[in-house]
Amino acid sequence: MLGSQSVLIGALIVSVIVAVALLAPVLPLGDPNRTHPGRRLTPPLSPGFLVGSDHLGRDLLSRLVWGTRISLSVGVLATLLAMTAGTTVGLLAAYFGGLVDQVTMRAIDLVMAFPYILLAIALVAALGPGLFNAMLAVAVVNVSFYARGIRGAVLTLRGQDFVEAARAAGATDGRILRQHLLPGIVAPLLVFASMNLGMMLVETAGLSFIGLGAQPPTADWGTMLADGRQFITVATHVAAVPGLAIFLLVLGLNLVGDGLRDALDPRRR
Amino acid sequence: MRRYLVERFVSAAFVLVGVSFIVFVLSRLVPGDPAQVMLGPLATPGELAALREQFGLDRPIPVQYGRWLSHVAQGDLGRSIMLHRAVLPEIWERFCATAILAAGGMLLAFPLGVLVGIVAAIRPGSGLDRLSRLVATLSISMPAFWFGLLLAIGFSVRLGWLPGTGMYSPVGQGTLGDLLEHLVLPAITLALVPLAVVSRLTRSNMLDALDQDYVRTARAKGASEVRVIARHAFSNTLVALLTVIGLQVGFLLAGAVYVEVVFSWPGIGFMIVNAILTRDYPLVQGSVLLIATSYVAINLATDLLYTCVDPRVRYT
Repeated sequence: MLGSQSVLIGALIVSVIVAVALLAPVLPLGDPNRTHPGRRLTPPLSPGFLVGSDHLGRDLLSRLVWGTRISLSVGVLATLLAMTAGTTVGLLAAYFGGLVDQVTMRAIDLVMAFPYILLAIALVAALGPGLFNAMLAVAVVNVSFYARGIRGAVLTLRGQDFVEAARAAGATDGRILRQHLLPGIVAPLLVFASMNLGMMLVETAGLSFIGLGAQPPTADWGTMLADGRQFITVATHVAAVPGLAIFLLVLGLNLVGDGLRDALDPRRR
Repeated sequence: MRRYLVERFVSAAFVLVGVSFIVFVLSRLVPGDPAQVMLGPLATPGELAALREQFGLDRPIPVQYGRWLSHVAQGDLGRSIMLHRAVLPEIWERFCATAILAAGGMLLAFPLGVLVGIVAAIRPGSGLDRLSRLVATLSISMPAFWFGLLLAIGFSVRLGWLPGTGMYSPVGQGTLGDLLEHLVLPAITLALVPLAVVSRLTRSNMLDALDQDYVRTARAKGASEVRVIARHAFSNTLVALLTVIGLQVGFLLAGAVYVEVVFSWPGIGFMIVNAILTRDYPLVQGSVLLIATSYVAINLATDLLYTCVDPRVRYT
């Protein structure tokens, strides 16, 4: 009962945030980059600034809403990239086995020999700071997570009778991979993605927070938090508000992910 | 057991070589001419060519890698472009500061996480169990850099109880007390996620272990509940726990970068970020290599500790 309640709460949180992101162009909000020099660091619930303003007098609510689109898009795109690449690698490694599997898994082990945050930072260092490079770096370091997980799932399916039957009927490797194995890994893939999306959002926001992701004046949640850090002694809302947004979205995603895992994991049935 | 140890050491050596290769390749991905970066925009073509020859930058990549690796093996990680000093002493001092921070996080996270997990497992469904699971879910969802800012706002800015920046007071004597005072907030921030992960894992594994036949047998034989929990159930969760703790130590070392930025803790993570922004690639390269090497060493130590906690490993 508590489990289903928490999933519903998580789904509600995520739905509201996604809806806000989608409706940003039609919501009655000002320009997120417009400065008001005379209204800097205005506290929340001030006239014209529901959530307050930042050090340049920019409306925090508007920046938060538009920043939601950026942060969500980057997180989802990074997850899709990592998922696609990781699934392909894991699927091929497990299906063909032998040398392909050995070489692939040793490469994955090597990548996982780095703490993932360090590897993401090192990749951004090589590619240069920026939102796209940060997204790419986060996607690359998470490929191994999907590759390992999908490989495990495919190893289980590969030995099943329906795969042997398809091979005996003359199906090509491509057909077996597309029509027989791929549908069988959708459930674990959904579980991995739901567990991983929240982490990807935090990682990309984190890179922006330390100056390696989105660059000014882009209203990404991480850069908003970084801006707010300088003013925590005089205007705590500038840092508190974007951080709260990240926290709520990641919490919602984690609650939904836990529910998906409980529903789809056969060991929990 | 000897075979297990040899395998682990050989595996770690291969991983170290692989790690060094990845670090080398990453440094070569940087756009632009390294010689130009080192000498600046006013360097003449002759000066650039001389520097390239001096550092072997005109050689094939495998030769450059071999040359770089031999220097690394001798402790020469190059010179910082901005600081004009050898890289290794600079990053070592910062690494020690990060290690202190990570140690503080570990001392908070692991014992407390294990304790909370055990208590939650022996009283499943209780108020404490539900609270611990709720706190774990909230902790895992909370960005460390935001949590650190909230702690700084609350305990440093508003209440003035604890310092919110640096490792020592500017006018202090650098005493242990001063260090510990500055360590509290960053260590709590860093410990948040590992504490949640360890408590969840401990609870999950203890629940599985307490459901096993050998626990039922121990109780039937009249063993005390403390003995059942500590000697039978908990000892069978140690291998999984050790694995996660080993991974979390790596997280603590690398994840400290966000905490160091929030609290201006003079660690290696803080230095890496500044080095990236100032294009000081030798410093970035050396720092990444040092942290990655430490991570490999920690994983090796974890593998070796298995021999202590799992008798089956000792006799293979």
